[in-house]
Amino acid sequence: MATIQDQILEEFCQRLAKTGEFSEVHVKKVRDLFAGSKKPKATDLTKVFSDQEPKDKLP
Amino acid sequence: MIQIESIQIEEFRGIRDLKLAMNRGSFAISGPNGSGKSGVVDAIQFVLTGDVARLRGAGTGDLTLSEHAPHVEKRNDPEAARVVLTVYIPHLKKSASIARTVKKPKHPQITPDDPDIREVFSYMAEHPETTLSRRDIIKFILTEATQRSRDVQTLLKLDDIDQTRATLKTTENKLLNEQATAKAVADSAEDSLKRHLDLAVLKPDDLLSVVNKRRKTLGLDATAKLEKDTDLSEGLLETGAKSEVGATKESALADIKALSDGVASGLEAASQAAVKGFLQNLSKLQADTEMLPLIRRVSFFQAGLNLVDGPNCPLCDLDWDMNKLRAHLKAKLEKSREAQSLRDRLIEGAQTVSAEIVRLRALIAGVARLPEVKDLGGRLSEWSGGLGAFAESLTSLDGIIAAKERFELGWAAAPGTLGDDIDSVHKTVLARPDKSATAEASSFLVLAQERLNNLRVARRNLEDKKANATRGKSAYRLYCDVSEAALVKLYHEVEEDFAAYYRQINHDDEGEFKAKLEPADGKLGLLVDFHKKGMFPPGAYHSEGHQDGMGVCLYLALMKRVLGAYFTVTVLDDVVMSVDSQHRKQFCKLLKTNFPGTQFIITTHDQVWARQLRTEGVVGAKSEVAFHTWTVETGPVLDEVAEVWDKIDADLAKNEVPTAAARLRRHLEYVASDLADELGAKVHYRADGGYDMGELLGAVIGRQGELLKMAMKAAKSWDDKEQTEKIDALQKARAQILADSNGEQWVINKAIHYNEWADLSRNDFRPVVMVFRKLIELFRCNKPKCDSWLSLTPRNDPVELRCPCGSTHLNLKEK
Repeated sequence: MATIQDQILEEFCQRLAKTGEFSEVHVKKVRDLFAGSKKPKATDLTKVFSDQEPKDKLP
Repeated sequence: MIQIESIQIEEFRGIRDLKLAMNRGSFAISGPNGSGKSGVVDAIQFVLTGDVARLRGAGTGDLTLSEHAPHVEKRNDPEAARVVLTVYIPHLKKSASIARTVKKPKHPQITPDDPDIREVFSYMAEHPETTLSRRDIIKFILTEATQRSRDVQTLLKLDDIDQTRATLKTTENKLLNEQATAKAVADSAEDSLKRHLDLAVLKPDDLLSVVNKRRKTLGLDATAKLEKDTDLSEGLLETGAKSEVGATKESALADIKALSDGVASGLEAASQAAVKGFLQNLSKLQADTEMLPLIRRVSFFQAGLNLVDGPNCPLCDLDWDMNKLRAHLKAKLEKSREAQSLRDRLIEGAQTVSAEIVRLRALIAGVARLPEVKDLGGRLSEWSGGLGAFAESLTSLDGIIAAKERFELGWAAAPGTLGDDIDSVHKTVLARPDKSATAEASSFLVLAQERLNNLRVARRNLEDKKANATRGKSAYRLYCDVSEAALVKLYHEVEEDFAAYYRQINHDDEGEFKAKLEPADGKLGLLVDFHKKGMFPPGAYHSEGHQDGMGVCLYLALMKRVLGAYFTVTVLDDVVMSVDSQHRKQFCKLLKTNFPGTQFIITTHDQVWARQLRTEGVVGAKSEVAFHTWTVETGPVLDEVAEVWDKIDADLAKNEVPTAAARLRRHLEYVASDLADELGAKVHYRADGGYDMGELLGAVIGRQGELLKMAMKAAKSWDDKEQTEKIDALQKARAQILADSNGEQWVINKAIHYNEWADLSRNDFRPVVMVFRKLIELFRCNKPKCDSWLSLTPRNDPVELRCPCGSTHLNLKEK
């Protein structure tokens, strides 16, 4: 069952993808970070949003 | 997520040794105050979470789990205090058990110790709200908006959302800082190229004009257009012209001058102005001794003001006049506005200086590359490192305050004799011999290309950093939008469910009840309709019973949203004690209708409520236990309704007739009280509730006879032969049993009251047991799944005698 936090995260990721500013790689990495056992830190997210290779689609 | 199969409690709280089979269904535990019911609640909470809420929080003083969770006789033996829970996990279709001792509360023994089962118990441990007392539940209703917000946030685990929001804000700030640094680097690279080209403004045509002049000297074609991959030195190798790596003489002199000027003047005018303002602001800060504390406390005052919604100070808990406290905090906040503005100006100034530090370090790096620098390189590098640390210190208010002296002395000043040494380098470069025009042009083009490349890289980096910062900004904004919308929706859904549940319980007098949850500024307001007279706080006009009802309805609405399909078990400890009988009946319907998949473990000191739970079908006939007394030595002494006959048989097998007789009498008292209520038997009212078993049982038997007569009369009036035969069979069976039982009742009385049990053998007592068992069965549905008392429906003006499953129903209304 999705918690309110899960629902927010899912909607957040979907909206990120729609902005055009984030690649599929970015969105996947954000999902992976939040799915991890530890809460993401700002340094982790900074790294993800600084990924400059992003135009490629996931295989 | 789990459903409880059984619980084994040993030496825990008021319980010595108790095993209860709950069989995954709802379960009622009744008994007077102090009979040990809450010990079961504590035990469930302990085994699931490793903690006991009752031993925590306000008013619990020096209570500790290790010292006060074990039974008082085992207070020095926390290992003996142990709880074992066996559960079924519906979504995994697995059974499992969890055991904890007070000695090692954080180390449960889980069997089987599979990862998916561990995950389930870990989830349960994070949800202590599955076991709540009336006190816990009513606090959702009768509390200040700030506290309600905190409690609901804790229940819904919304702190995670705030934390994620804060993390994304920090991410955005980091990315914006990186962008600012990248901009400073790009500006430095542009300055460096402009210096080399001797241009005040970098325009493509001007750049090409300067470059083409050198290309012409070398006999190279002019570069017509400046594009992203244009090579200013294209064709240079083919000319065979000699070029040196590093700055040309003019460029080197320009770089040294730029560094010296920068050191002398603090670089750009903007920086100078920033430093000037910076020092003024710092002086203001130091001149007013109250200013710095106000800066530090501005967010504290703001938070404090938001938290004031009751008569106590949110920090010190002392009583205040609420309006006076608000006015006091507002005055503090107003005074701190100037301080806040000062802080913002200081931070802004620090950011300007930080950008200048990036540029100064780029100038130092440029000079450090000159061949004339020689041994000075180490000191220049050290200076640059020190400036980097200085920039880092300007990211905090304390660092900014500590920087005052450095700003007064000239923050960009070269340390020690480094300034003079740079002048010496300048002289050495000036003394370089002039080169041929072609060599000079060749070196010029090489350096121009190098600096153009640096600028291209810096600008690309800046573009990347801008894109990163845009992503950081968008992510933060999106998360805020999404989480806010989700919370508004969540509160709206909770509000709707809450009102619908409450209407279901109180449809007779508040069928149009409405509620409004209002989240704002860390508060969660709750307003409820009062008989269409307006929206008011729940404590304003509603009775205590109605408030109890609201508490449990809001709790259920929240749990539905928190756990959804995983809301499979909850322990409600005496939660509807102030709700009257009729509304509790509706509450039973609410539980059955809206939460069919949830196992409710309900404790109550009210026998009537325990009976209602059963007659309304919330708990089955075998899913209840009554604690009737409690002693330190024994813990709760209970009637397990379902197992009483087995226990009596076991007593008799051991030839313990007095024990068996006491057990039978207690059970008959319990049953007679139940049946008197179900059948509407008439007894003499006793204010102390101390009804005699013989009196109760006599009234019940008499009432049953009346009802059977009424049913027979009705069946005949409808000419219902099948029903007539059925009632006739019942009447005959009843007559036979009564004939057997009346003569035996004195035996039981004697056995326990007159201590004449010694005269009874177990063989004498067995028929007594048998006859009463048969008598009781006359009042019960014989379908194993139902196994409930027959009762009058409806109670006030009955038209039938029936069981909850409907398989036994006797019409009482004549044609």
